[in-house]
Amino acid sequence: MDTRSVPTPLDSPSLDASALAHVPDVDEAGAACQRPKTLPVSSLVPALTLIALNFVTKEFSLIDMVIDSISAGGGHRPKAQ
Amino acid sequence: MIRNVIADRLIGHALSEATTTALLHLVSQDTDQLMQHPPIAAMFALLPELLHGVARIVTPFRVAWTLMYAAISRLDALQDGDPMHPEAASPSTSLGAHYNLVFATYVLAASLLDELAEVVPAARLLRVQRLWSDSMLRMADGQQHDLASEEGAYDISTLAVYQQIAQAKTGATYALAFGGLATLLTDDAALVTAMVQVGEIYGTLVQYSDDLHDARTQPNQTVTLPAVLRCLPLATTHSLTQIEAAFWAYLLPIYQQAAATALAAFPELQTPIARLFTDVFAAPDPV
Repeated sequence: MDTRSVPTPLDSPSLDASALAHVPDVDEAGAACQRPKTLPVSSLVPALTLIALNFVTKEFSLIDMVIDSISAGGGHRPKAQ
Repeated sequence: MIRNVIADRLIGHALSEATTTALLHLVSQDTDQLMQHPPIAAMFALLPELLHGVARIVTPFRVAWTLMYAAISRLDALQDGDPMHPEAASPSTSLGAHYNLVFATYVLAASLLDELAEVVPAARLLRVQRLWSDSMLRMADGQQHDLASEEGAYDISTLAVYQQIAQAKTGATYALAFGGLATLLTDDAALVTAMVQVGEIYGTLVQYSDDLHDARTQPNQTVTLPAVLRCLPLATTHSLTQIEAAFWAYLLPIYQQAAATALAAFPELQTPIARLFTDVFAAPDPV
């Protein structure tokens, strides 16, 4: 989209300094709505690499355990969608 | 439900009938499927009950989130070049028009949060909108990494890359569902933080689980869990399917424990959340 000839809001005479002077102050209700903060990114998701390394060291017993469990009627795979 | 909400939202707009029809056609089937998707259905069945949410608050957020999820899922499919559901888009819709409808879907989803202004304090709504934007930025970051990743020589270190992508894409999106509802329903910052963390763990599991089911049928794979598991140094004669099942059985309790740890200050939530994880992710499935 070619926007070169499209006036920007700053070109508008209604947005000059004198117009901004009439912007009302933040009222009491607005003051309660301060700019919300970004929550920190979660670090509690366990590391897949470490789980895989531990899994590798126990692979035989784990795989046999799961096969035995499924043979007995249980199961551990996520169900089909 | 979603189709009616969208139709109401579009009343009074000067959108052409063709655009409105195409938009409704696009989203109605996608959202119907998503509403029944087990991780989503189970999540929205439990969370309002746990957080004492009333329908006039929960429903608009649920619709907005589900519509957003439909938009980013379709965007993902378009970007990956995956075949579309044959009934979800007109065969005559061009690629550009399809992208445009997805854009409109996303804008519509975000705008539905406005409906909450009448039923929740403004400060809470602002926090939800911030969480929404932050989560979508993380999702886009994860998608960017996913699209830039190349199939090839994976090794165990690829798991860290895979996790980073899964956590950013799907983890952040579900963190928004859990944390957004909590934000709308409480001013307890510790509870909101805990729910965001649990949602991220849950969403990351959703991505792993979907990959384990769908990877073999995806025409254009990027990094997937089965692909990386194949590269583990396993000295076994067991099949990949058996290895996947065993790995899942090993991984799930660890992630469940992480969710319980996140909820340490809210012990009354630990058991129902643990049950949610079990119900969604540990159902029987023959190897």
